[in-house]
Amino acid sequence: MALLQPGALGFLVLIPVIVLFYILRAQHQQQRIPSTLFWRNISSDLEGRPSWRMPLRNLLLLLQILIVALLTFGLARPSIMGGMKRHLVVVLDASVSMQATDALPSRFEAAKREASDLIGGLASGDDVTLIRAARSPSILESATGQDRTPVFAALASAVPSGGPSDMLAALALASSLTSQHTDAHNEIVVLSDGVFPRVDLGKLGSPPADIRQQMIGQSSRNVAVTELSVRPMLGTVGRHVAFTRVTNYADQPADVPLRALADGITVENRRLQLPARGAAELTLNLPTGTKIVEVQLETDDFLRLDDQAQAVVSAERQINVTLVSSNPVFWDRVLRAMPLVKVTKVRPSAYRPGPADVTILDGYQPATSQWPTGSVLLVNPVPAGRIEPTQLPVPPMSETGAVQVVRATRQAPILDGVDLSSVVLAKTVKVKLPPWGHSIADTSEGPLIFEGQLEGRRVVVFSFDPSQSELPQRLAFPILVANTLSWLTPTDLPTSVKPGSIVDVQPVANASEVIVRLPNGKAQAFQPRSGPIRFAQTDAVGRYTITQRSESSVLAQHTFVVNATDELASDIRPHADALGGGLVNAASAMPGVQQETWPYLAAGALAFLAGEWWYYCRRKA
Amino acid sequence: MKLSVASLLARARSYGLGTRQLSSRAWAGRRVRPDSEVLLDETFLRRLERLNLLARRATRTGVVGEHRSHRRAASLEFADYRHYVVGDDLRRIDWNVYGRLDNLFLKLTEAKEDIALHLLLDCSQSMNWGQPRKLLYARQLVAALGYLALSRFDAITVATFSDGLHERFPLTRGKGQALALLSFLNDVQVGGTTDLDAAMATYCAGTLRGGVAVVVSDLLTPGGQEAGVQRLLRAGLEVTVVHLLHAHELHPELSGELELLDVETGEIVEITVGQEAIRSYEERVAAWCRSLKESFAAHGVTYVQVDTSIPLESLVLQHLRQRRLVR
Repeated sequence: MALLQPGALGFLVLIPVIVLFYILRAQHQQQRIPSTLFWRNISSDLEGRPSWRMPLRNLLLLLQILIVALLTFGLARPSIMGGMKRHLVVVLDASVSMQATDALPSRFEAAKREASDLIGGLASGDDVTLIRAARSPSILESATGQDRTPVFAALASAVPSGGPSDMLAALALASSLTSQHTDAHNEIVVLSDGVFPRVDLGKLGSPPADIRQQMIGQSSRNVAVTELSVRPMLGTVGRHVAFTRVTNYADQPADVPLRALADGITVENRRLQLPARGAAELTLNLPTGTKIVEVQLETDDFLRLDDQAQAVVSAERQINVTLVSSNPVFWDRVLRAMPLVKVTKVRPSAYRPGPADVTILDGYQPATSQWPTGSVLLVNPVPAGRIEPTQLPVPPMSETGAVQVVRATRQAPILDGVDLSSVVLAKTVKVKLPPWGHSIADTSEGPLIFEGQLEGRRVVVFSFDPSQSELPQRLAFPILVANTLSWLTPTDLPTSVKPGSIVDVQPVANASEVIVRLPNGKAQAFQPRSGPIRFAQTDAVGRYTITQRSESSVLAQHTFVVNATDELASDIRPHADALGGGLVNAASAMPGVQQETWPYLAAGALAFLAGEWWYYCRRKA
Repeated sequence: MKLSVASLLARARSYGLGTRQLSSRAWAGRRVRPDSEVLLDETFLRRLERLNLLARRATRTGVVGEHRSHRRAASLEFADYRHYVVGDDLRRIDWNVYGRLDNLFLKLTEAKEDIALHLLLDCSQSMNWGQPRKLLYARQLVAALGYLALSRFDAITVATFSDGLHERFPLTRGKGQALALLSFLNDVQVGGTTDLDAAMATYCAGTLRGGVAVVVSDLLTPGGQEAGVQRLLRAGLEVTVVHLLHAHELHPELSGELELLDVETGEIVEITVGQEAIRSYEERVAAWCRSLKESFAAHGVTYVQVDTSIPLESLVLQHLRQRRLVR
């Protein structure tokens, strides 16, 4: 027990004062009587008394001492440890992997059961907050006190998302909530299978809470379509080829039937022999005029969501490319293999900034002032003559020897479907990542490929000369170039997004209504306003059709698909250490919280005061 | 002159006394007048008229009264016969009886004598205590006894005393003096300590012709009461002591740390009054009353202890009847 105002104990000096009052005889009250004749003998026994007495066995004195003691201790604000109030924050992982059915009926439903048990086990005065961790976290409900009906209702109505979860953001949200409950023992429980990028809890600072993960799920048996992309077929016009990758995340080999459909017509039936935790890639030649290609797997794995994928064969659009190179043969051959790419070759000496969609500066880096207004692919960024490094967007530092790719951001659109592992580069130009750049592939010597926006134009930098490496020998290189050109020439609307992504729809002129038809057949209508319409209900996997219409006619129509083709999410192997073992906060690990007890002491003093008055009146009567 | 109660009250009203026959007026000097109180009401007065004073021996006052005397005297009231003995007055022989019985018998007649009632009222400061005050009760009692006696044509005299003898209402008879009696009692002043012996010594020094003395007092006198009472006895008076005590004197309602102030002497006693002290006090008062009763009884004095909470009518019509002071 601790005293918050120990100075108040000074009031205990009142106790000896009260005792003194009892020891010293009280001032006599005068009473007129007809004669003292018969009081004399009685009083004679008392007249010789000293002016003090021992106040023994005086109940009133004891009660008054008790009252003063209680009030004094109440003023000293004693507090005790215990009776700890809890604040439980339940973080419900709603990522796509939580739809795995190794925990019946699903991991997400099992997590909901666990959450219900946790909340039901709280004491009546405890607080609870329910957070859904999806691509962006949200507070489903919170409750203080005894009525937790809203929390249970929110829990019952919670649904998983079709995409990954940003667990770090969810924990940051939970931490911020716990910091508002400093009077409670905060506990953050993450109900998850751990299928998310490992969270460094150190980034949360020092939240006043215990953080622990409660494991959901147990199996890794899953075969998924982890890649499906469509590219124009090289050397043809109007034909496309689909590239797909199927990955087996189980610890056993799998024999999986695959079916490919083009606009609903089966174009491929094949059995894939997949090694344990291995993948298989294949290309599909699509019939001319195909608009939608779909790949389906027939498996009995625990996650069905990623057993299929769709891709939209986008409308062809010519890309004007200006190739500035002293040796254009390599790039010319690469670009000519790509349909709808019109290449204009320019010698560096004849280079003038032009209006091309993409300008490839191969081994030639002019000063920033000489850069074109369109997008730029800067390859092997060697300065174009004697230019001050400060005038160069990407000043080169030196040349490196043979290097390997040590890190690649596979989520980056440019590396979508590109496997750079084990690629050896004979030499690269060592550069420092500029402030506007974002590296998506690194070697041990620095950034290898980075992207960014420089003065309003999109820029991709290859800090190596592809013609001097083994990369062009790989299937990944044309994909890399195609992805790069695609990223450098963005279309208004995507053709494929991840679940939970936000799609910005820019209404066309004269559009009076924008209708988005969901995979389940339902439609949502939006009224065009200034600026794009932000459509965020992309949790369901499948095909979405956006129709913009005026009063009388359809002005534009666009289709995009949502695929759960996420290699990270499809790897449903539970990770118990996704939070690094959790966090035990020193402050929250205290056995209890300080609870002030002065109200009880005050109530006790009042009761004793009433009892003292009752006894006094009773004795007087 | 024969007076009825109604005419007496009417006269009282004409004197400004109203139905408060003895309302107190202003008190002056060291001794002060008691508060205005009603002494007797009309109904009680009518009932008093039906009572007689009782005396074990009548008192020769020279006036033939209403009370049968224990002495035989020449009168027309036949009392008894007795045999003639030598020396008897031959004139009192009943010759008719001798003629029939041939024996000499003397015809005895009885005398009718009045009673001289001496009402002695204690007006010490201790009597001016209690609620209602003991003195009011004493004045009412004296008024009742006096009116009763006057109604029977007995002679009454009233004297007030404390540390000495104070006012005196002269020997008076006849109902017509009732108003004067009430007026006297109305002007009674209170004060001083009680010295019964000194007061009675003064009283007995005057010419007394026997009679009945009624001392109305709380007897709270440091010097004792016996000497004063014995003076009355020696003066040939038949003494009745009416001992007035307030209920709170018998059973005090005191508690706590008190400074008890004697209203007569000014003496102060500091005491812590609790249940033990109260019990001790009550035992002492009870023992005192017992000793008074025994002492007075030994001297032939009628002792009547009166709790002033008893209604006056009950006292006169019941208690005094039981003690054979009135009939």
